[in-house]
Amino acid sequence: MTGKLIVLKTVLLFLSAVFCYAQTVIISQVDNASLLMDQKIKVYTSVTDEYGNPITNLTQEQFELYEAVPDKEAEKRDIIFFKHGANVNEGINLMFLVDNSGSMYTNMYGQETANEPTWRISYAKEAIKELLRNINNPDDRISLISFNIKLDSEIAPTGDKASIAKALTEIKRPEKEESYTELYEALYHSVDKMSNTKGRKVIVMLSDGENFPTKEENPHFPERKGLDKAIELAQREGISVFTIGLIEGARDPDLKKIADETGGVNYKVTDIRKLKEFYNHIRDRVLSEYLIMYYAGMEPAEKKYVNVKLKTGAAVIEAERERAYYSDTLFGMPQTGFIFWIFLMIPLALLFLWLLSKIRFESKQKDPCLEVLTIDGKKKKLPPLTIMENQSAVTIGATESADLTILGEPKLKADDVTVYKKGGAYTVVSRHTPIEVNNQLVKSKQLRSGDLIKVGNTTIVFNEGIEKTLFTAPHAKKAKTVIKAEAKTKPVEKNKTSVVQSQKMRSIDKKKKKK
Amino acid sequence: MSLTMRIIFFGMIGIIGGMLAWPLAEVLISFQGNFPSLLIFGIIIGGVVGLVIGGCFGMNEGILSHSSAKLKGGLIMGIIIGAVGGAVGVISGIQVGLFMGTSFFFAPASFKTVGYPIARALGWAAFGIFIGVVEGIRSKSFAKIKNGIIGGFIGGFLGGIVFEYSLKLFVPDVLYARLLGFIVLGLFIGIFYGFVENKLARASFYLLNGRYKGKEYLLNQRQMTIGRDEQADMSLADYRQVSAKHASLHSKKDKIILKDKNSKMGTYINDKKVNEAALKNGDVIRVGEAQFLFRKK
Repeated sequence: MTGKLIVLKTVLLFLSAVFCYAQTVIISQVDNASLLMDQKIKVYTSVTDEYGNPITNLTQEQFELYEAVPDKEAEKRDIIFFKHGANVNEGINLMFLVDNSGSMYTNMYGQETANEPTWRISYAKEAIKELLRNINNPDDRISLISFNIKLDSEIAPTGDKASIAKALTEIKRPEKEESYTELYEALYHSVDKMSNTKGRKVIVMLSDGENFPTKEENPHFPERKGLDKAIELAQREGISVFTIGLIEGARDPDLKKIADETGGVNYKVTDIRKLKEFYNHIRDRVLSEYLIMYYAGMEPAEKKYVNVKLKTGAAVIEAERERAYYSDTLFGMPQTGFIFWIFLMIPLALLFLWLLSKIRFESKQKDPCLEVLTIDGKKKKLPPLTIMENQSAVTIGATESADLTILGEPKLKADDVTVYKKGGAYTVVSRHTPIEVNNQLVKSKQLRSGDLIKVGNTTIVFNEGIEKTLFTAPHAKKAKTVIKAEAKTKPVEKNKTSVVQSQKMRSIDKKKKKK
Repeated sequence: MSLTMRIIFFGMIGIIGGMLAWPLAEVLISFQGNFPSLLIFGIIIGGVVGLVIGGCFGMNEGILSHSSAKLKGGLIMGIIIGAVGGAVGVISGIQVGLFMGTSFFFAPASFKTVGYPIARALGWAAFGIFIGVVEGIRSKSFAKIKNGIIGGFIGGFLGGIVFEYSLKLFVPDVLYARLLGFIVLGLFIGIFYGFVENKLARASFYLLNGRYKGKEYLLNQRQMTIGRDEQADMSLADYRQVSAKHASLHSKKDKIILKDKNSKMGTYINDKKVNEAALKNGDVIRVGEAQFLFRKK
């Protein structure tokens, strides 16, 4: 009895080992959407047997989950949630990748024929049409690419089946020089294009199976990636590639390899009717996934790698390819080794702040002055005309004899406007036409500090300076001003402000225009 | 102090904020692995960085008007709002970064070099918005909040791009890259806050005389107070005959109204005493001994 049992157990173990070996574990998606809020990472994993059929009866205990940051060993993480049949109702992204090389325009045996319906391309088109008819989930997104020496007939993911069907009819036989089959490159770039779409992704590749690249440089694919790179990228992106071989006789090894290693299935189709169940098969296979959830580690890294191990009997199967998710914070990676001098930045910044608070954005004008504010409504920065202690009057006029000369004001005459000083007060007087002071027309007005005198299109501010406005010791300061005033008595001539040359030029220009 | 100086000043304050935030952030980043979750890490680092930069921006008005009351009030408000805003900003920044970053990160290679830093810069823009609104919340002004949102977004976004590129390409050493990043981020948030404030202001008041002659006040709030009081929006402590609460400004539709607040010496427009009047471009306003030129934008 025991002997029989042992034999039976051994056989079973052996069988399961063989069986296990044929199983494929694919991490189809790693979802970090809730990483920030609850630190959870969702891992979608599909497990298939050697025929590509989903295995649905696995338990949480059979799975192990590992997370790794680059250059460090993977750490095992506890699984906090486990579920089978995770996204059965979700839509899938389905891309049809159609071989449109020269050999597709022969019959199933590779013979030239004028009988169009027996061409491989006709079978391919019919096959896609049949699949389109079977697609019944409105959330599915379908895209299309044809290839020969380059990618063509591209339709971006859409829910509109008719547009795919229409694009199919527009696939035309390539010129001879374009009829090569860049199968590997086409696969690589199609996977790359698909990587930007979310959700479950499937490529259905229809081809007669042979990679037949041009011997020359191909400008469409300047850098050749090759089959292994293409398969690796598909695995990384969690894209399963189903291959449909349009060939009679032996299965093409490339198509089988692509399907097997990406978790897809390789079919040989000579009879379109066989495709009836194909779409449902893909759905079952793709969507019958296990959802495994775990808490992400806090080790800082831009990318973190997730791997799943499946224990069945004695065998442990690793996922075909680990998958990365993006985990970076805003701040980047930490400095290796800690440096204490960085704290010197704090007193340095505080010193800077203190200096900044010491800067006083104040007017340094101590004595009464006239200052041009705007000319023709535009701000002008000109030095102020200080009214000296010993000056009893300053003049604003159109000629150089005035203390403040404004050129180009047609109405202004020589020594037209005068600011007189009497006692401590200043009065502006216009000899001819009234002028505007604070927007009021006057012939004369006792000026306050800050009054705005408008002469034609020039505005001038009268400012008494800060000596008078502030409560400062008047006597001590006055003595100083007297000395200063004496020292400056001579160059009164210098103390003239003339409105810049350009103003003069402009007025000349104006006159010319008038003429 | 002219408006350009004001913008430069904001930028300088931003630089100081960045300089102060940097060493603190470095400490936290080096302990990232010890935090229990990304959320807590984000809240703490965002809170600390926001506290520092927000505190600096909160002091803006206080330093500019040499008012210790405004300085203290602004600093405390800046620290509180900055800490909250920084935490929320970094959290939303990380979320935007994770969301956009994920799609860009796994995007075709050609797209990645440009798209990825942009995605993360958008995260910084979210941070910038929350720092930008500090001053608006302090002064309870909706207009200033709007200003902060736009200025903070642009500043945060551009600063974030510099931050990203300096991290990735420019400076190989992350330490200096982040220092540069923080400084540029603070600088840009400050400059763009000032720039947007300038653009959004409906009018300005140019001081024509006295100690602060040449200073230009922006009408950047719905209501503004004028007075000797340090807390006034247009504080005129150094001018005689100004009452504590002398006058106020009200922005209504397309009109800007000046109201006298029962001041001792009265309020004048073009040498005429007024109780309440709408302002016209070019009006000369007198409040005590201070005279302003009113300019509509």
